[in-house]
Amino acid sequence: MGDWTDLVGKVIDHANILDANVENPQTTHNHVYPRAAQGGVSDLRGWNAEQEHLWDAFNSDPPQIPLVGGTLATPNRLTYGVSWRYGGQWQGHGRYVRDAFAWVRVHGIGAAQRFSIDAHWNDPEYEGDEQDPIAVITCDFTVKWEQFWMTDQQWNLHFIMKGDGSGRMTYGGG
Amino acid sequence: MSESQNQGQQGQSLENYSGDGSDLTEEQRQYLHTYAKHEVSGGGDQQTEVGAKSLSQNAEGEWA
Repeated sequence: MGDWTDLVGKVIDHANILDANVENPQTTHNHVYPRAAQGGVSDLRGWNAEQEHLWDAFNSDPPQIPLVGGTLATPNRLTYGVSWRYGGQWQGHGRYVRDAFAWVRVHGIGAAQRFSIDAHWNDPEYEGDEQDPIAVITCDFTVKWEQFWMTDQQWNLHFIMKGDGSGRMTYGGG
Repeated sequence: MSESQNQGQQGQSLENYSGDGSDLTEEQRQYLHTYAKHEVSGGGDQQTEVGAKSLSQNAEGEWA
């Protein structure tokens, strides 16, 4: 493993970004850069100003027939995903990742509805040439939805974020 | 009492319920879970993929 592929910068493994309907922002961000860059991400040059984003939106609605009254009229509306910056180079090599974080925005949650989202960060990886690697970091979400105090659904999302700005979100089992 | 009559009565008594569920019987919770739960609605925004950018695009960005 060379100087450009001995990667560090992941500082958080797990974030419970939505804890029983309460947003809990991931304030500590993950990076992927060479260990040899002792000044951290500040030693790298050429970061792209624009963040990349991958997200999913979840919408659900109370039943049409108002069986239990007006307090259930609020629909569930959530948006969640990941953001990161990319493109930093160290000594003119590689393309690395900085400021990767998981997020959720609650737009509305109905009565007796409860959501939780766990974000698990995996160890940094790279792909491509060892002299000119593209950094990769991945994150797995577990979204849990309870209705009337019983788990209704649980589903997983897998996010791939790369130093060249590309990325992908895939849905797992639930 | 028929099942539908029973369900109707359950719905009546829970019509304005907005508590945290701690005062409900298991049967009442089950009733709400069965008849009053949300349905997932269509579509919604999402972004599932972004493409790679060239280094020249990077150079237009800020420098750390």
